[in-house]
Amino acid sequence: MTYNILVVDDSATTRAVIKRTIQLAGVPASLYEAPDGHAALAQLDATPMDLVLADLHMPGMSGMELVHQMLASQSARSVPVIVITAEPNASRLEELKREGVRGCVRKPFTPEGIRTVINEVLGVAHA
Amino acid sequence: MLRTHNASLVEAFVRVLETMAFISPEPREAPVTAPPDLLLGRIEFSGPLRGAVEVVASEAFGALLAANVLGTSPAEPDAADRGRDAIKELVNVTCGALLASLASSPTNPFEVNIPRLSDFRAGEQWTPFVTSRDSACFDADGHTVAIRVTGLD
Repeated sequence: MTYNILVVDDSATTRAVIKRTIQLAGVPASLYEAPDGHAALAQLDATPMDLVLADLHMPGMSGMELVHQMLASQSARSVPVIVITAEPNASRLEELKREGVRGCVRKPFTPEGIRTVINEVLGVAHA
Repeated sequence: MLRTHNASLVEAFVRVLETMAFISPEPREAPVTAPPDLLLGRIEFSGPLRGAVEVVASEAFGALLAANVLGTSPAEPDAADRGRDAIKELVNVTCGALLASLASSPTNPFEVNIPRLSDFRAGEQWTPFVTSRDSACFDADGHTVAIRVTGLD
C-alpha cells in the first residue's frame, strides 16, 4: 500500500529533508508538501491524505493550530498528525498528544526514527 | 554556570551536526581567521533561562550543510538559498537540543522564538564573537563555524 503523506513546514529545505528521509526510511509514500497551515488545509481538502507530518513552530498558523483546525474539519479530522519538532520541553510533547497529535519526532531525526513513528501511527507491523 | 551551559551547547551542536549532516566538527582554538561571506543564525529563548543561541558560518558551509542533508551537490543553482535555510535550521535544532538537556518544568517551560538569519560583518564582529568566553570554534569539513550561547548570566 502507498500512503499519501503531507509534509508541512515553512522551510523548503526542511520539507525536502523530511521527504528524503521518508524515502530513505523505505516508507511507501506519495509525498505532498505545504509551506504553512493554510496551504496544508487546502491540500487536505483537495487530496485524501493518510498522514500529516507538521512542524510545530511556524509563522502564522502553528502546527498545533493546524491540528485543531483539522480536528474541527469533517474531511481532515481522521487524518493522523505527527509533529516533527525541535521543541525542548518533554512535558509539552506529552501535552501535544493529549490535544490530538498522534506522534512526535524530535529533531535531529534519523530515517529509522521517522520510520518507527510513522509505522506506529499508521499501524504498520515492523518488518 | 555559564561554563556548564557552554559545554552543553558544544555537545548539542556536535550531536546535531553529526546526526543531521554526517559532519563531525573538530574544535579549533583561537586565533581563527574569519571565513568570507559570513551569516549569523540566531534564536532567542526564555523560560527558566533567557538567552540566545548563535551560529556564525559561511555561505559555503551552508551550501555544504544543505547538500549533505539533501543528498545533493553544493554546486547546484539553488544551493545558496537552501544553505541559508540550512543554517537557520541548524541553529533551531541546536537550541532545541541544548534546552532539552537543561532543566525545565511543565509550569515553567522554555519558549523558543523563530530562528533569524542575518549578514555578519566579519571585520567588526568576528573577533569579539570568537574571543568571547562563551563561544566555541570548529572546523566542520574544512569550514570554520563559530557558536555561542548568550544572556544566561
